[in-house]
Amino acid sequence: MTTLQSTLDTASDEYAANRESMLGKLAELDGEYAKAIAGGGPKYVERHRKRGKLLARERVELLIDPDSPFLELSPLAAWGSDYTVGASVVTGIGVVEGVECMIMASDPTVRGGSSNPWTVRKTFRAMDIALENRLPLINLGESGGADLPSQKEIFIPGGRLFRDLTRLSAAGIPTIALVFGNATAGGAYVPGMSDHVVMVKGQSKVFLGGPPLVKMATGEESDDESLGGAEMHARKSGLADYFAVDEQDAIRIGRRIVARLNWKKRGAAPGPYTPPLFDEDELLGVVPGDLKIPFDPREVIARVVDGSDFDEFKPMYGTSLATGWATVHGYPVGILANAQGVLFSEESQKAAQFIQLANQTDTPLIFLHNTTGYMVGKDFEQGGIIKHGSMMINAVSNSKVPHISILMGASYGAGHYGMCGRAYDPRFLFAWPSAKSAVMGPQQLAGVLSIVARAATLARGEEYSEENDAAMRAMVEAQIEAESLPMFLSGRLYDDGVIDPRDTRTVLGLCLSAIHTTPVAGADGFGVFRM
Amino acid sequence: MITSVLVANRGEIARRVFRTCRSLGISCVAVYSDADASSPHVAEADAAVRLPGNTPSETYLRGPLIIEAAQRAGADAIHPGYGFLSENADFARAVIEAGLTWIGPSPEAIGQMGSKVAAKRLMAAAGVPVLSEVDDVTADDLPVLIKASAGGGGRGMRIVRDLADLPGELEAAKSEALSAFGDPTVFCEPYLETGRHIEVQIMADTHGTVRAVGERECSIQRRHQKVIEEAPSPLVERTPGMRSRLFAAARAAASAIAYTGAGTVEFLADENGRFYFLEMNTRLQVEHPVTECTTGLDLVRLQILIAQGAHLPALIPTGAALSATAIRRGEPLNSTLPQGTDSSGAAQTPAGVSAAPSATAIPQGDPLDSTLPQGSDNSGARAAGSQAAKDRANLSAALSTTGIPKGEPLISTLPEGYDSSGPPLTRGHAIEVRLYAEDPAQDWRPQSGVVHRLCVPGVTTEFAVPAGPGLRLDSGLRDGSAVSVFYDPMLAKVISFADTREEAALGLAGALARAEIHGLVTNRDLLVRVLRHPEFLAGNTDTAFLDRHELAVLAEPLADKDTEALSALAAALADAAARRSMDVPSGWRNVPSQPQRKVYRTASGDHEVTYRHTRAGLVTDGYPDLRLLSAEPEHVVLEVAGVRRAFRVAVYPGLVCVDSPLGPVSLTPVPRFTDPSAQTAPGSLLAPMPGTVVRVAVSAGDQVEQGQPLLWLEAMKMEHKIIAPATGTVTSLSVVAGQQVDLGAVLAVVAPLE
Repeated sequence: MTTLQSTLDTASDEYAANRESMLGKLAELDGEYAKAIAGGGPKYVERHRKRGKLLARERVELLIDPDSPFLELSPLAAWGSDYTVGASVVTGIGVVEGVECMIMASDPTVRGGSSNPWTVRKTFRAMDIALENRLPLINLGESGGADLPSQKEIFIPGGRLFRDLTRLSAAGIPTIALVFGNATAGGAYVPGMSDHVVMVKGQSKVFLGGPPLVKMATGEESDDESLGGAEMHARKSGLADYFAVDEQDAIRIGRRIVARLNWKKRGAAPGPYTPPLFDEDELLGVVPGDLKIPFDPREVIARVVDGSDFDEFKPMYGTSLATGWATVHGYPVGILANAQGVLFSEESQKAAQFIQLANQTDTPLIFLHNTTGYMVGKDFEQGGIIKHGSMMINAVSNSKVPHISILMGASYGAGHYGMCGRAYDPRFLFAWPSAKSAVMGPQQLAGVLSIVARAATLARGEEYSEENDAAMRAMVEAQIEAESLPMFLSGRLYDDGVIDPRDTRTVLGLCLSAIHTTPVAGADGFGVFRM
Repeated sequence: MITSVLVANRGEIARRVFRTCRSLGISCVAVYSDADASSPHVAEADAAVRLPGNTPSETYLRGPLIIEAAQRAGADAIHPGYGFLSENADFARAVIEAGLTWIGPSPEAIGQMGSKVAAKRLMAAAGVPVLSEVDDVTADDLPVLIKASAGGGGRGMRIVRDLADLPGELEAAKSEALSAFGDPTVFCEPYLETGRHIEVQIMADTHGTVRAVGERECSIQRRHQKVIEEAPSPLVERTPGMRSRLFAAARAAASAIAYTGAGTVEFLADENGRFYFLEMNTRLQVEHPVTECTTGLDLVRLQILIAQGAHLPALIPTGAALSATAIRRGEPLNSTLPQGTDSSGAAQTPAGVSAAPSATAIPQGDPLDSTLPQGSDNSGARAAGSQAAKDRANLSAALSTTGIPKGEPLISTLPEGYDSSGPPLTRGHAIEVRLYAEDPAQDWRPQSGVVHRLCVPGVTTEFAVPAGPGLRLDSGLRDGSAVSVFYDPMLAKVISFADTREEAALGLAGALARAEIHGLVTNRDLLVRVLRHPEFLAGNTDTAFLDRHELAVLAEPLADKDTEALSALAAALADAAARRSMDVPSGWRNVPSQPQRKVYRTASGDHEVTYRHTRAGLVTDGYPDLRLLSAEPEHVVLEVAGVRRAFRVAVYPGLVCVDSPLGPVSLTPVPRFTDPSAQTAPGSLLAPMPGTVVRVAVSAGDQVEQGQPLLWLEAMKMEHKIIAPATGTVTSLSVVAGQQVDLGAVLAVVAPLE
């Protein structure tokens, strides 16, 4: 046991400034969450309520166990796009009858709950998480199907939805559909592909073609109830397994279905633990507003891991990356945390070794990002930084233990990859509001563009306009800055959400708990390591 | 000599008798019905014999079975307790004929008092003041009280204020009397609207000694059944000379029938101290503990010893004998005098303690109790001078008849100079409440079901005379016991003993208010409100107390609406604490959109609790200045408007009990979901309690008027009318007469007229 010490001076001006900066970003975040919660706005919310229906989040709240936590995923999906923040669907991990489930609830107040390209991506991400972590999937459906104006971006990839539903089932992961309203045309395959289907009296409408389409196709006169009402599906077609008299009854039945799954977690149960010795509230003041200033990730670790107890591996070697062992909510983890931003050869080799050790002992890994990337320069290239960086990327790519990434600060360049960025399929990836992620920093990128442009101009024998250069740099810097901010990246589903730094321990705990629904097993082998 | 006693009873009185048997070294035999198989009185006994069945007539009222049980288990005596066969002369006779010792009065004495009609005539002849019986009731006689001749304990009594009601009430009283006592005879007597119920505890030995041990007042009654009893009586205390007249009349009553053992002569008194004989109960009373507290006597012990022929003067020390021996405040008073006690000198009094305790002083100038020869004139003749000699003679007789060697501590010998002619020394004041599982606000509807917990704080003794000021608890239950529909729903008797009446009342009220009573609706709140009532504290008690001070007000919950709401919040937070499986904040959300919502139901309505745990603390609607100090599954501490309030929370299936100094609150968690298949048709009449359908007055398809009785349900020995909730048609009738129904069973459905 090695208890971390803290040198964070909570009385310092820096701390106060860092804290203020972070609180400002969190307030902004709350503003964006408010948009997601507002859904289609007061008019549509009221209309929905008048029909005696529950809102998407109300359905979720009623579905999950009282006082249980709910980890909402991708709440900022579609941020920065033309679509409503949240992408007209709520997804997240909640506890139903004691079972951690992946819950998806369409928001019918946003364009009838229809799917836009971001809805589709958010849904796919949730289903990936369900599959990887063996979480039963509960679909609280009420969707008008594809948002037709954007059908070109939905139709072809969207077919994956039905494929994944049945693949979940094939993988032994139960899928449950509670149909609160429309599930028509393609949407009808959601109940069709689900293991358990509950329909609501007078509300569910599940058919391939509605009355107008049927009239057009065959001339047959029909109505909603006879084509796809809950009672019809419960009594005649057999598509509905359960007939609910109203929404609360449907949710009640849904909970009973989960209770009868006899679902058991297959991962190891957590051991006993104590909370960290340091106040998680102080995480607000750890990250400087200016990411150029490095910070000690041990201040974060001391406020996240059980008992602030962290056994550091190779503390004197490759000091720009801290590695070591700890437990979070009783789950053993290995932690890799950038300490000085840059990754050198030593750090890369240390990481590669550490990741292999974690795989040897079936220990999940947590990556705490604050990296500007792998070191460049003559000495480092000659020293084999590419080989060593590749070793780290090889190790992280082929590692089979679950990975969780937290973007605290910078996550630039190949460093983002080496630290298990989005493309490396961490089980979960969350960003702090202070995070930034791009191929490189905005100034560096603008500077590189400027140098290249200047060289090209001079090569053509023309005069390089300093004025234009400044304008170009400012524009590029602003664009890159905006595009490397967490809300933008979160909007594009490049993370699973932006979290309050003070919630880091809670989020990690919930993720680790969900992860342990499956057994944790390390890799048997890796790619060939260049030595 | 008695070595083993069978108690032909159940519950607390069986345990009470056992307690004394234990201290006398006598073994204990219980009998039990099927419903009582897991009762504490059975577990406690050395041997127990099953009486198959449940209803009293199948079990505790079956004399031959009980006598057989005694013989089989080797008991040589039977104690009847109260109720059941305690006043059944035939049973007493059968016990004696079976060669067993009957711990009670002679069958003849029981028989003479058993018929109320005959007893009144007998008493009148003996000079005891009585209320004349009304044979042909006219309007001038109203109001009258109908009583069962064989009745007791207030059962079967009905007041008639309107001549038109008389035939119906007579009919109902007869039916109830027949069902309860096996004898339909009833009679009417003038009804005194504001009488006081005063009774005198009598002890008589088999040698002609009759002693009035003390009076009790039991004026606080509901439906003619006692709820609060006390000793001494406030009326007797403040009416000069009343005690002597009362005691004399009681002794005369007992002497008139050559009474032996413990008995109680009940009187109805007016505010001026005039009193009339009501009846004599030829058994131990439910409320005997208050007399035990104030006299220090163990009345069951006296019963057992008298049944073995002991002499009373040796058993009951008199006030005169002890008057010089100082009793310190709160010091236990031995029920027998230690051998060699020097009753004349204050020399043994500990230094610095006054010889005559102020609060416990014997009322000076009250006439002394005396031993009356059988059939003697009770007009007041007393030969105090020669009494001591007589008593000594009686004592030697007792010693020879019972064969107890001299010096046997059970029966102490009298010290030299002992004066037995005075009344027993009394001390302080004792008040007993009968804690019933009943709902005073719902016409005293008896409750049945599981008592999850019964815990009265500050109890100093159980079933035993407290040594000093304190609380005594006599209860036949343990946590988790079921109160069945077959017997009296009394949960416990709680007896407070203190130096003064006010202390006794307020101490008892406080203990009851803080008691944890979980599972059933009880009369606790009513008891507390009565004990704290200024008129009660002023001693202005009479049988109309509950009516005069408005039952609805007295029965109001101790916990007001605000307390209910706060308790519901505490229940919700305790629930949240219990549900935490992982050390993450309760109800944590990264995107909070709405609070946690829980609904709890109380008799006064639903309480919706909404709350959210945030980083800044608990946020809950309606309490801007509330802070959560701690929440555990069984204990929640809140700070409300700057005041720390602690709540104890106990969770049972379908029930959450929250106790706090603000008042006890029982909450029914309203489930988040309703199962549609569990819903009942509108207009359904549900059984308000488990019971038996005794009569059905309508059939399916009948038109009924609102308020019309449809059927009668018998439960807890009372008939409950099920009336039409609205004018309409009986669309369904699902029961027949004789059918046993569970709580909530659909009895009938009435479709209201469109």
